[in-house]
Amino acid sequence: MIRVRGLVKRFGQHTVLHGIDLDVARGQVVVVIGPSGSGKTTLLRCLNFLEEYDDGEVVVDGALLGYRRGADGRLGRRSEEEIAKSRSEIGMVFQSFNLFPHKSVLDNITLAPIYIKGVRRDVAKQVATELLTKVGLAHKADAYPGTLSSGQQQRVAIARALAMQPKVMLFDEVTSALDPELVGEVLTVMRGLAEDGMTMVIVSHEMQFAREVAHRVVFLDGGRILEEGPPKTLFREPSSERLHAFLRRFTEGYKLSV
Amino acid sequence: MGGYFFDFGFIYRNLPIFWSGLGVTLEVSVLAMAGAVVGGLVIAFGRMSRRVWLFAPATAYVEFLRNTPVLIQMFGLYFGLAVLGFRLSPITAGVLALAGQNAAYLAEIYRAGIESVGRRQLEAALALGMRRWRAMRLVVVPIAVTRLVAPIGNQLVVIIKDTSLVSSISVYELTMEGKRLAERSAATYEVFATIAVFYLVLTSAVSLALRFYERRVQLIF
Repeated sequence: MIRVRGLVKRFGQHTVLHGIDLDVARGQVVVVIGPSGSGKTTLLRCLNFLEEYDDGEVVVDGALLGYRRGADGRLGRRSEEEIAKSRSEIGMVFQSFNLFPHKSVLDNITLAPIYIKGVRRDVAKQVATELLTKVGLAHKADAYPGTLSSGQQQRVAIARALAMQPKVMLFDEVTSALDPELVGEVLTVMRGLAEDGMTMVIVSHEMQFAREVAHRVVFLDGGRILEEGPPKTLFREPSSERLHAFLRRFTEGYKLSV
Repeated sequence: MGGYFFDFGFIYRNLPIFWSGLGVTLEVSVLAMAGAVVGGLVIAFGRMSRRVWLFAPATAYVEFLRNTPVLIQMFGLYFGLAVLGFRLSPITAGVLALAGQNAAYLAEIYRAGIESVGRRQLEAALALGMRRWRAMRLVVVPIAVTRLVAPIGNQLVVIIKDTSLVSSISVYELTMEGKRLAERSAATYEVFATIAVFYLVLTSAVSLALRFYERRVQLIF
């Protein structure tokens, strides 16, 4: 479903991603972990072209994302319309929810289907209601985002992304801005999606969640993939010293907080 | 009768003159406000454009008009253009000058608001597959406008007060009528105090209306 080869991203002089290779099969859940500044979020944002990458390729469902190869073999940026079309098939959930504060919960969800896909208003509403039921917020359809808890807002954001019926869902540290007691309700929704067979790439610090839900965990450090594999192997027997240290910091943090 | 504090009778007898001036002031205010609000939006988009041929002229416009006095701009439009053979009516020249300069100020208010307020929501809209222009129209601008009510309101009040400047290109609005009345009657104090009250009522009405609107749109946030 997603194939990344030699992905390079620079911000000015600073290279954030040094040639990433990554494959995500249909229905697979891949969790990306790593210290802050390792390029996790940048990698994820390259997967829907919110960041334009400088080298390498990102192929989603068979099509090169953001660029097209011209007759002369050189890459040119795709038109805005094509890029928008690709993005509409890739759902993204942000750390800070990014809901539309001037729209009700229902309108947040129906806006894109109505305006981008031309879905009829009543159909869009029905789909939105079903999605809200799925994330446990059917009773909040007419509420405005500002009146919801952080956990509820994030669940609406997930429903909003799902309403476009994406082929892939990207999650960018979606529980990092939540009150600790609200993390669970969001993870439950994500776990349900994984069980439904959704293809997901998740940037997260929730190690326990990664252990339970991920088919594969990718450890990113300094803009490079240092290790990847099934969570059980990776967490139990990290082969690199960096991952070992990273995981130890987590377990220590966990012990301290208990 | 001399030795008085305030001759209300004088004001009352001359109310028609004030009304006529107030009418012109209202006309100039409304036209200039409309022009500035809409023109400012256009210029703001120019300022935020990545295309040089939009960005450069919009920036030059803002810098030039913000950094020269509006009175001089008014003279330029009225007397200057007349020399070149384009004769504008005093009201047209006045409205254009006020709308022109305040569009520059409003453009900067819009730009700051749009760039700071809607960035995250813009990304969300783009990620859903909206094209930039539609995301702006459906998401960013509506959010920015509701959060910019207060600074926009301040600028509208400035416009109302600055309409008094069009008196200097012989538009018979409130200030001009007042000046003439004061010269004829020597009731300077009464006349200008009354004019001040009229302006105060106008600006307060705008402020109150906007505050009411602001409260309403913030309730749903």
